[in-house]
Amino acid sequence: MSDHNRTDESTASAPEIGSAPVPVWLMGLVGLGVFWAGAYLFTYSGGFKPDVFDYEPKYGAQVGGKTTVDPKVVGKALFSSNCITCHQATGLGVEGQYPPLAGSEVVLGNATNHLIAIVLKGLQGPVQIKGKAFNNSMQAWEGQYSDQQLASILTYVRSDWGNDAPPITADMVKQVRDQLKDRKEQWTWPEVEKIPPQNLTGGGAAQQGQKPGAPAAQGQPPAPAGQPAAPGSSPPPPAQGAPAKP
Amino acid sequence: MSAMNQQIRLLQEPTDSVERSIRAPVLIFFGAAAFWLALGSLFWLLNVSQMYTPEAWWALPGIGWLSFGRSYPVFLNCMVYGWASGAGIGVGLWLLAKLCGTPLRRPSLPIVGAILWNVGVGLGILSILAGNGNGKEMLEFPGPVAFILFLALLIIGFWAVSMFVHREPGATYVSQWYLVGAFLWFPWMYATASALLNPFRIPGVAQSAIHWWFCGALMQLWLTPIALAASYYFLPKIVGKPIYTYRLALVGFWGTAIFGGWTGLIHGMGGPLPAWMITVSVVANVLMLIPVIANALNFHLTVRDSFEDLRWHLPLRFLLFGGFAYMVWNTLGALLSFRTFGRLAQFTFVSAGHRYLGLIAFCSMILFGALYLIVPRLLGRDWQYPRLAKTHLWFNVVGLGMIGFDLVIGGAIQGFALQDSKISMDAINDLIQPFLLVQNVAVLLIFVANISFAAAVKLILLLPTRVRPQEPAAESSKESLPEVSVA
Amino acid sequence: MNKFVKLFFGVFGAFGVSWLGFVAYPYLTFAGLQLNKDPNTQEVAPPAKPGTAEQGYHIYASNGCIYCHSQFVRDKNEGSDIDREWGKRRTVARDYLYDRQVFLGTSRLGADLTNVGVRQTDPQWFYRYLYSAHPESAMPAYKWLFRTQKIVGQPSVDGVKLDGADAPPPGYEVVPTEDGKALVDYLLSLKRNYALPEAPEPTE
Repeated sequence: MSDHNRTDESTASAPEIGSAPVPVWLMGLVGLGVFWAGAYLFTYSGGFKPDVFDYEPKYGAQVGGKTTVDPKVVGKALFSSNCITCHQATGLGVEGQYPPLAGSEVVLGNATNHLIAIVLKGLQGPVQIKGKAFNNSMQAWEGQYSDQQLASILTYVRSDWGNDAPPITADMVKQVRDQLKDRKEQWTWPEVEKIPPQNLTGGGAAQQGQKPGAPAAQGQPPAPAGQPAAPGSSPPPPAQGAPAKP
Repeated sequence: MSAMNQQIRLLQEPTDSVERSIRAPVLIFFGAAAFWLALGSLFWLLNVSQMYTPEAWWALPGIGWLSFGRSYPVFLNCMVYGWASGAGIGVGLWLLAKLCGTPLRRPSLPIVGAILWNVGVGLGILSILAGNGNGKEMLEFPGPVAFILFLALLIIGFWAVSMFVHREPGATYVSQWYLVGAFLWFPWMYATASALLNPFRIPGVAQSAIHWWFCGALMQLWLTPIALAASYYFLPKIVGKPIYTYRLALVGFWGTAIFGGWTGLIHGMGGPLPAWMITVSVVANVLMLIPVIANALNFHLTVRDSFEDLRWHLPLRFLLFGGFAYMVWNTLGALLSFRTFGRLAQFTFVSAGHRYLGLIAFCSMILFGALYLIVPRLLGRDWQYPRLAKTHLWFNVVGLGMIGFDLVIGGAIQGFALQDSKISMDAINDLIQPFLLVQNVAVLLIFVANISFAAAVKLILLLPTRVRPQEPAAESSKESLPEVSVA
Repeated sequence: MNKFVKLFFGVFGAFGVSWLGFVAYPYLTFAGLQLNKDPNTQEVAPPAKPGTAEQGYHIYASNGCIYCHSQFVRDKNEGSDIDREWGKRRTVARDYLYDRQVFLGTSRLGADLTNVGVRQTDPQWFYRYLYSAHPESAMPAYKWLFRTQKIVGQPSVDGVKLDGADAPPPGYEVVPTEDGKALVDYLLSLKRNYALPEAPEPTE
């Protein structure tokens, strides 16, 4: 006890201090406090992660952090950065120069492969859309956009300006891209028509019986070979004769 | 001789060589601190007038360098760095000298430190007024000024700690632990925060984390330890009894040391900081109650039996008020850290009121008590006008009580209104007008109180007279108990 | 000396842990934050601020705007910030990546300013409000960010449209000083209306 107190001889003048024990109730309070602190700390800390800002713990399936974004919103943003230059924000194109997308049979038809192929590799030469003739050159976009991005652009294009056709998925774009990977030049319209109009896998099959929009009956392409479903003789055929994938 | 002066003289041992060696720097700090206190109180009055009556002539509208955005940081910085820190350093040095028993060998360096500190504060205040403030509470001084303050702190801290290192052999006392801690922690936290926020501006929310850390640590690990050190020294001396127990003092000290640095981030509740940092701050604020209860219990059980005898002991009343405010401040802090209350009180007067509780009701009042006891000893004079001290006490008590209730209740109303999105900000502004009026009145009272104190300090420093002729002469100065007299 | 060493290490260690947690950790974590690049649209978030906004930080700081205005949006379950349309989503650390000074604030005597550049896009609105917000609002009149000058030839493009008691005498106009313009540029740049993976914007 006396070692806590100053001796009288020293010049330092600390007050005296007793040495009673800490009251039991205080010890109990401390114990409770530490227990509470531990529980609170580990419940509400979000795993001590630096990117968890919401302190409420999430039980059950984690959200995973991925946000589902509407492809039409994304597609519109992407469309607005490039495609809009020629095809215009109204989707009407420019008379005599750039074909319209609104009401276009290429956009709305079941021949989704044609649509995808055109965007991937580009198109040049004469083509008729909605009864009007166009003869221009559209660049290849396959190097610019990923499958997901192209799919969202095409989904958007198929859903705006009065268009109402089923969405295009990234898988569909991927299949076409893979099948056409050896093609280096832009298409001409006759060549496009020779491509199988749609893949018979899930995406294509699901589109049977959907609204056809403007079916291929419109718009006579000037090219002679009018059978849209002949795969055999065109230069970039799908490798397997039957475009069926399981 | 008035009862107050008699009470102060009864603080046992006469001044010795140790105290005389520390006299010069301590008195420089005290004298300057009293000036900053007066200036800070004046700016506080200006600031609350600008809140309540922005167009009135006494709110000095239209003058850019005195506008609201400048008067508020000037008030806060005068109070924190000029008054509380300045007086705190003085009290700390004096306490360390007394407790360590080592006379200060070369007082010239601490004198340089004292001058540097106050010059720095002055330059900082001028910079804020001139429009060079940093816009971060408590860290508004521009980089070069902060560096000057840091230099001063280095010098003072070095001397303080060296006094402890060369102390008389024997057990150490509670106050010494707190002071060693304070003089080590403050330069460190000040250097970190100033450097990372001013010259080396780190990008992003790390700035806010460090800023709020500093705000919490400033209160809990700089001003609080000094105030506690003073309480632990003076309370037992005044009542003539030992501190209740060493063990509670241990709990109090280490609890403060461990939890104190984590308390600041409560301001970031709901903000762009990771959830775990806020949660840790919440836990720290609540666990701070452990050392607070330990210290408060210690104090209470020390003075418990002496209230009757010492009811009129003026400096004791300051110390006891401060101790009570210590409890209230930390309890409020713990309560507000729970998110249910915290999110209500977050952007309102409640957090301002909480800040004032800690700074002015707790730390300042204890420093007042300490100064009343120390200054006459160092000068060998008495306080010329004890009435000033009475004014000081009562105006402060009423003013602080008023502002405490006003800001907490007003802030609660503000908080409920903020949570209801149908109430526009202008409507909220109308709601709080009566509370701004009460705040104005309360600050006016506090202003008068602090001017009284500053005047008393100036008088005792500058006027050499020992006893004023008008004071009624005491019958005997040898009585050991003070008479209950109207002083 | 032993006692001192013990005390010193205890004191050092106790404080050092909080320093590590609240100073070193945020410094290391947030200094390494990267911009978010949306894989679909290639947009980066947050967008960089225009150069004139940089000067505005200093004006904002030195005029004490932070003492009445906050700059962070809390989540729906924490407060009414989103209901008051102060933002569509809560703010997170990356939103402040480009801010040279971060003014999160602790007081809301005035509105939150995180997205004030989204709510008000017209500099004139800011100039009028800064010049004299009375009597609608309690905000001080920041008249020293403006000057009244004689109209020489054409009225200045920056002239603040004032009427009533605030209007300058005929033949004079009120224009913002460089400081005033910088502040308004800074305020206009306060937008966080983009989504981030850790803080998605809610869909309708």
